[in-house]
Parts: sequence; structure tokens; C-alpha cells
Amino acid sequence: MNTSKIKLNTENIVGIVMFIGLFVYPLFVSSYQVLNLSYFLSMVFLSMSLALIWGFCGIFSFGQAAFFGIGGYFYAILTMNIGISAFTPVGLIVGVLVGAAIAWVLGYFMFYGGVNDVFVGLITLCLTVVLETFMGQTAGSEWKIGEIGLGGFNGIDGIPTISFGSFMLTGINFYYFILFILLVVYVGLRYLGISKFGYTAIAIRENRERTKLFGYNVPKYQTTIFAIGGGLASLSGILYATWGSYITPSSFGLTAATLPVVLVAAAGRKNITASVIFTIAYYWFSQSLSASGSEYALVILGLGLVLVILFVPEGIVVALFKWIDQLVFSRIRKKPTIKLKEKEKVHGHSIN
Amino acid sequence: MDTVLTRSANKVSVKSILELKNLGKYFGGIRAVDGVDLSIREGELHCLIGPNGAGKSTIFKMIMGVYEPSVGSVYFEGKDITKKKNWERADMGLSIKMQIPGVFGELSVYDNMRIATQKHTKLAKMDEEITKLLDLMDVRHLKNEIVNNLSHGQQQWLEIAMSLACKPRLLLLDEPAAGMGPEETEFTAQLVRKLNKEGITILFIDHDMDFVRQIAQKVTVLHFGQKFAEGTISEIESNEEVVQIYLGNG
Repeated sequence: MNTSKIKLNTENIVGIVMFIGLFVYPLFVSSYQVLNLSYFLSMVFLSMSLALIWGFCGIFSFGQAAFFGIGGYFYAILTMNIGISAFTPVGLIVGVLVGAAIAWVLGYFMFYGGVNDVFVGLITLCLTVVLETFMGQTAGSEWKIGEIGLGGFNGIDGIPTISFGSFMLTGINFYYFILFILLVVYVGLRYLGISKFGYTAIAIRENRERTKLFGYNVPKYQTTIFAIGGGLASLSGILYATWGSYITPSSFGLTAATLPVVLVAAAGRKNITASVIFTIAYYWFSQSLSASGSEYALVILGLGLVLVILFVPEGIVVALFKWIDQLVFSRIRKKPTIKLKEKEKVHGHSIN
Repeated sequence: MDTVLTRSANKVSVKSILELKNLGKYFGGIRAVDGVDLSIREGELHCLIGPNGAGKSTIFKMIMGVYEPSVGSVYFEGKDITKKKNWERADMGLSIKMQIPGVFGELSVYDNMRIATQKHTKLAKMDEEITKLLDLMDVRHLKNEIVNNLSHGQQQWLEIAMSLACKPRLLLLDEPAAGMGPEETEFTAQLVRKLNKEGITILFIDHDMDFVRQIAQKVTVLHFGQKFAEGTISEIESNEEVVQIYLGNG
């Protein structure tokens, strides 16, 4: 932090290279691979939502998957009932706002009620489990909203693609649409980190009670950031639902709720770029292993993640960033270091 | 000698900036603070002393709204703030340096200062304000250092700077010289006097009687959660009962 200018460091260079790489990627690969990457990118928003609330503000949540599901289901029910393709962008925006509003209400009762730390994790975990269980038992024909049946564990399929007028976002267009939103959200979150709001969130993460004594209405900030996180997770759910044209309760079940936590922790929760890169890498690796037919795909991934969390608790990507920073950029900058003697200097002179 | 001159130079108003009325805090059957009445005048440099467990820090926490009093009221500038949230009190002009440094250890000195400053200063003026406060504490050269790497004394000064960034009219300092060597203590004493001379009312807690003697205009002694004695430092030091319960004869 400590700057409003773009600093020359590993994270920023990797961030720029990553977006250039993502931009030119479709030029070199098949449409199937572009479709796959669209899926990976849609899941990045879920990781970013957790990195925002947990990494920035210290709110540990298992509920991001629930907001993912809320977004996906809300978009599906709304757009399929209206049945006009030109309405889908409105459905996208309203879906995000609904996810944010539900997160705001939950956050309001938690944070103004003095619920914090592990108890937020437990409440949000309950939300996810209850939502998945409830949606799983909606197979009967009586479970309909408008014309759309909720479908129980089979979920909803035939969800419309996002369209602008008659222009449907499919294939490469959908990919660039997601990439554009990712760029906007990524830049927004990076800016947030150096803004007044971001500094406040970081202070809350570091010491909540002390932050209050500097005059900050901590529950208000926590509720706001939790709502933004809910909106981002909903966005992820909507993009996922439009990508595959379906959504099922398993997509926001217990496993789905745990995965972003593990990914963000393994990448380095305090760093948005790390979460983005690691999520894309995880999904790519996961799919490559599955495609190769290895039945041990999940075991290998799980073991790798456990080792990372055990041996690099600050996160593997963040550790790499720091290592390269020290190796390359600290020499370029020639930053003056403070010697121990100087730090321990006695301040015995008088003040005028 | 300088101490006496400095003390007499301070302008102490007759108006109370802080009043505690029958203030009490009970933890189960333990009365940590038990019916304390205290009045701090505007411009005063007032010290709370007493044995460990006398209730000094608990009183500070009730003034700042960290603890809700079991009984009694807190008045700041004539307004009853007993039910106010702690962030509202900070906005009203109350600020505290905690007993255990309440700094953000994993962040840099600048980041710590920014967190404290941005709430009370316009962003355009913020860096100027931060530099001014770091200069005052003589820790400007440590601006980019991670706070956990600073010495205990430097962390204490940083926290005082952070408290000042809230532009307080009443500053609470909980053991500002704890764990410091003689020269660091002297620096802190001069600093506290300077802040008081600039118009900030200061209520502080300390066990170091040399430090208290140097700066305090008025001293309140607490014992078992109750106000035991009050007066100037010489009155307190000549009080036989205070000597017996706290100061000792050595």
C-alpha cells in the first residue's frame, strides 16, 4: 500500500501480463478451450468475493457459495419467466443486486448484533447447507415460481444466454464479455485496496476494536463489504448459469462452499491478483487431470492444497510475488533499510 | 524546575470537560469500579494512580465506550455519552492510547497513521498531517517500516501519534511511559507536557511516580475500584494512607 501510483512490482506486472494473456488467448486455441476458460473466469468472481471480505476485511465466510446459488437461481427464474432475451442484461444486474441485498440483510443482523470471527463462518455455513438442502427437495411440481419449476437436485436447465438486443453472447463473445467484467472488477478491487474504504477494511481485519476507537462505525463497513462480496458471488453464479445454461443445488453445496476458501487461502487471501491466478490455475489443472482420466485428480489437488497451506501459510502465489520482489525489484529500487541500531535509537532530545 | 514552570504556564479552565458520576463496573460479584465520581477540567493534565486491579484501565474503557458501565454516567463537554457507541465518542473528540499498544503490527508506520488520520483529515491534507505527527514523535524516518519491527517505545509513540490524528480534545493515555528507559521516559514526559500546553486535556495512568511527579497537575488515587484520594502531587505524596496502600515508605 502506501501509494496511489502504480508501483513497479511483481504483482502489478503479473496482473498486466495476465490480462494481456487472457485477451489474446482465443487467437491461439480452439473454441472448446475458450469455452472452458470462460467457465474458469466465471468462477474467479467467487474467489474474488471471498478475497475481498476475508482478505481485506477479515470476515471469514462459507456463504459465498450460497450467494452464488442465489444469483444463479434468481437470474434463471426471472429471465425464464419473462422470456424476452433482451431482458437478460437487466436480469444480470438485478440478480447481482439481489445477492448483494440478501448479503446486506444477513450482514446487518450479524455485524450490528456483534457476531464476528468463527461465528460468521458458522452462520454462513448454515446458510449454505440450508439453501442446498431446501433447493434439493424442490423436485415436486408444486415447487414453481411463475412458470419455472425449481427441479430439486436436477436444478433448472435451459437458462437463457445474456443477449444485447438480438446479439447473443455465446462462444468467444461471451468470453470477452466475462473478461471485460473481470477487468473492471479487478481494477475496482485493486483501487479499493488503496482507497479510504480499503484502508478501513484492512484496519478492521487487523484489529476491529481498535478501529472503532479511531471513529469508524465498524459494523457499517463490515455490512457494506459483505454486501459487495455477496454481489460478486451472485455475479459469479449468474455467469456460471448462463455459461452452462443450467444450475443445480450441488453447485452451491458444501464442497462448492469449501473450495473458494481453500483456493483463496492457498493463493494468499490478502491479495486479489493471487486469488485470480490461483483460481484459474486450479480449474485448469483440475480439468486437465480429469480429462486425462486420472481418478486421483481430486486426491492430488487436495494433497497439494494441504501442503501449500501447511508450509506456505501466507499463500503460495503471494510468497512467490514476495520472493521475486526481493530478488528483482528491491535491487532496482535500492530501498534504504533501517539498521537495528537506528531503530533502537533513544529519543532523548527535547521537543521545541 | 522546568517542570514547575511548565505546569504553572498551563491554562486550566474551571469548566469540566469530563465528568464521571457514580460510575461502576461489575464483573459478576467483582466490583472492578465502584461508584467513582471524577471531574476533569478543560486544559488539565490529570493522573490516575493506584495499585494493580484498582480499576484505572476499566475506567478508561468505560470513558471510551469499550465497556458499558454497570451503573453511573459519563459526561463529555456537558453531554451524557454513557450510551454512545465508541466510534461516536472518537468523533466527539475523545481519543485513547491503550495500555498494550493498539497499533496494527503487520502494517507499515505510514499505513497505521493513514488509518488513524483519514477519518479526521481531508485526503489532500493527509500526508502533511501524517508527516507533522511523525515528526512530533521523531519517528518519521521509520515511515515505511513494519510496526512489529519497531521498539516498544517507538510503538508507544506511534500510538500516541495515531491518537492525536483523531484531533482529540481529551486524550487518554494508559501508561504512556511503560517499559521505557529513563531517556525515553523523559522524551515522553516532554511530549505530554507539550501536547497539554497546546490545549489538549490529558488524563493518564502511570505507575512511574517520577514520571507522574514531572507532569501531573492533579492526581486521583484509586483503590479497590473506589476513589481513595485526590489532590496535587505533593498532597498525595504527603497523604499517609496513600503512602501505605500504594506509594510505600521506601
